[in-house]
Amino acid sequence: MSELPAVCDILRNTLQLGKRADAFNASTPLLGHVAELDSMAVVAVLTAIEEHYGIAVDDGDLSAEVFATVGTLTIFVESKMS
Amino acid sequence: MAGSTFLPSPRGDLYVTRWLPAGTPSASVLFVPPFAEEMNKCRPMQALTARRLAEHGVQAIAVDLSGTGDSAGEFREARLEHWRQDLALVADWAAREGAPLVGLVGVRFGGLLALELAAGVPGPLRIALWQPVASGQLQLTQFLRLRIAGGLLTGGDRESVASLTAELQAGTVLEVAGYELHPELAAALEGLDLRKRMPPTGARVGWFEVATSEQPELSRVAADRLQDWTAAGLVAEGHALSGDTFWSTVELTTCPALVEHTVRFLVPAP
Repeated sequence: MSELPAVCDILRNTLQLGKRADAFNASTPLLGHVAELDSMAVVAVLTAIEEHYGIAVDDGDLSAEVFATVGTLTIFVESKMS
Repeated sequence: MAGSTFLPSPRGDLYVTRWLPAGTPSASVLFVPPFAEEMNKCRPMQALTARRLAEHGVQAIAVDLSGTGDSAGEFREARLEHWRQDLALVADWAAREGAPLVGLVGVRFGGLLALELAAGVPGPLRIALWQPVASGQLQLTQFLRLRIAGGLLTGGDRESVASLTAELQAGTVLEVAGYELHPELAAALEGLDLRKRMPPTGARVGWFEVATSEQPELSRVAADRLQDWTAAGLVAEGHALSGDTFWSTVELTTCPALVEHTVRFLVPAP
């Protein structure tokens, strides 16, 4: 999970979580557990990921499972990088 | 002092804004605008930077590309090739006016076009890239997402980038956030990519990013591009600045740090 720190930073900055993101790890649940993560915030997180990595994400690749935990989101990001 | 003028082009008049220094300008800097609505959000930053450049004796020029802003034509008639021609036309006009073009500021998507323009303009140029968009595909995806936003994870029949792309490929003009996107423009965007565009030899590139965090770091894409360009022998530097992400905020905002760093990059102290 090489991109775990970067993904945590993106979540921290996009959702303005501050110190709450310090405790994030791969198993931290996201969708339905982080109040800030509504559908507009999902778009903002996706945009931030795209801008950081310079990749375009097709929404067709997305499902609620991708945003289940910090780990599932990280795995998704890593799969898009290759 | 800011003034505007209209330049004739094959598509009609191009609206150009010019910020002049007090005396005769020693050089010119051209802003290459971002895509669609970001244009309006970035105007205050352009104006602030232009006024600071004028204080250094440099004239700054901004243009509304064909089909956008106050220039002739409708957005649905806009084509990438028109935009390339518009920029070359304005760069040529600036040079003929007597103040040689020494710098470009590629604002967001404008960075992709700025690098193309730089290849055809006598150098050496200083090219500032403000929060560059890595590719036309990325710009298109994010633009289409404006139409999709809100219903992303609610299942059922909903639009996706793939479904909208299919409509474009079928020849449909798509309405997105009040803009009519023509399939030809969308298709041309897909050919633009920073990974495929080396800045011209002798150019000096400044990659600027703005983030709200107190200790911002350059993005991965910035680090990759700067590494490749430096390895190719170019002088390329990256700046990660703290401030408002003015191209996307709901209210118009500015980033004073970006203004200062950009001017320092474009007009180095003697």
